[in-house]
Amino acid sequence: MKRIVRTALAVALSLAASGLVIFNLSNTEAVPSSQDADLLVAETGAPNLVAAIYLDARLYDTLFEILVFTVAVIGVRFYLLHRDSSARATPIPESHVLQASAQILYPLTLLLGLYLTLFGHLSPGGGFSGGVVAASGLLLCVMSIGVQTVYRRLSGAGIERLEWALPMVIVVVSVLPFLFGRPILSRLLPVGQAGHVFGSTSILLLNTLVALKVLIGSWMVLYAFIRHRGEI
Amino acid sequence: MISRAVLLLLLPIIAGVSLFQRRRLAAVIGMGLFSLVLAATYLLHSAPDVAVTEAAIGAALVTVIYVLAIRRTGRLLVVGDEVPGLLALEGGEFVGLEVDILTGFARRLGLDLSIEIAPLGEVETILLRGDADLGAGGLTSEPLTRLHRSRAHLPTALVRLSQQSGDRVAPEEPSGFARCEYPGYFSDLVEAIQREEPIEATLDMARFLAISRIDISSWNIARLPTPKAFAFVAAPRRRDLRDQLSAYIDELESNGSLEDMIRRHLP
Repeated sequence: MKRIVRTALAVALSLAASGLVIFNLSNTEAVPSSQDADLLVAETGAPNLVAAIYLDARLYDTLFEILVFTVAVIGVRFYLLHRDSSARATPIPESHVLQASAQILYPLTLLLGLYLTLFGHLSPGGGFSGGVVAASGLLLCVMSIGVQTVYRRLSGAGIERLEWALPMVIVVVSVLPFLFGRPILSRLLPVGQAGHVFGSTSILLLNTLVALKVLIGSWMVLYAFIRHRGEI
Repeated sequence: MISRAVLLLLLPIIAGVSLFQRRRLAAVIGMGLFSLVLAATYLLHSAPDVAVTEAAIGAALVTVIYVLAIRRTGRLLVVGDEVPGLLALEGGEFVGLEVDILTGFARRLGLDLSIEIAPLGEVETILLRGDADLGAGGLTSEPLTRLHRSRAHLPTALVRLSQQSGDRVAPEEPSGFARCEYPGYFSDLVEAIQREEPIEATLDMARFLAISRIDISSWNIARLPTPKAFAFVAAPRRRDLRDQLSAYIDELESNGSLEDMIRRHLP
């Protein structure tokens, strides 16, 4: 009886909340005036306004977002990688269906991640989502060829040191304009023709760095989970 | 406009449904579905960047992490050897008294039952290694190691089978958990007896009944005096599981369903 009341209460509350959201959303249309938008596109060379804002106009905010992600990765590593690795569980073998389909899917997923990153300033996407998609691709890769193989190949490239170096590189890239007599957090590289892949090289560079950072960070979180619980 | 409203209405419904799922896998899939609908909602509200991120993180990566996490914790992993009547593989499905008990127990805990066949001698090692939660398959002896033995569900006795002539008046009791009975698979033992290999084995009544269907007239059969009982064993760190299982068997016995199960599987 109690449970039914609780369930009914939860459903009623969530319905009321969503009703409120619907009511409010139907009255507001949050699109910037096209004049401002055109100005920002011309200035940054990036037709994707969101990318133009968070990697150019408000790069400061993005730096802290990267910091948040880095702290999260450090937390997972701290609590998992240095815990009793003696009680490591043996892996559960993957089913053949999953293995075969992962083998087909992982190159496509990695490619999609690359696309989202490189075209993040032209179309929806960007470094954060591109990096996460690429990490999903890496996970599929783990499912098809095994975690140890992937780990050996990646750590051969010094991937963990790269993880700690990348936030620093991003900070340096955003501070570097200061050396050329321009304000901190301004554009490092010149703006080209709007709508081109190399139209806004600054955003492209930052997107690539952020994607690498997110990819490696997600991979290290996933690897910590896998290694300590033997889930793959 | 209508599709926006439908998607927004769908969100709390999916969230509520996945919140009240008993099976963990269903709940996780519900959460993934929630993320997917949320991504579609973002898309319709002209926020494609957020939609892409939500789909990538919520529907893909987080769902996968949760699924990986419940692969161990969402399953009741049982390891044991085949015993006709208790735990046997018939036409791709497990049947038997212990299977019935475990199925009900797993359902009570909201877990998926997963049974793996292993040689009797290895059940202990697998449990000690932490690769399974429970050991089953006609276990009669007291575990000597850190395993936890559950309440017994069926009394039995031990029988010693050997090829030697009857100079051994008092056959020795097997000591230790599943060690001295026989180390390999039960099916291998049956074959060995059919080939009349000179082996010795201590068998419980369930196994002995299955073997007595083949010709064992040339074997020496001695019944051991101590009464035994079948029980489950839980892995070293799963004392809580042992206690819950014992309580569950108690409950089955008190409402009479244990007796029904025994009569159904061991006529």
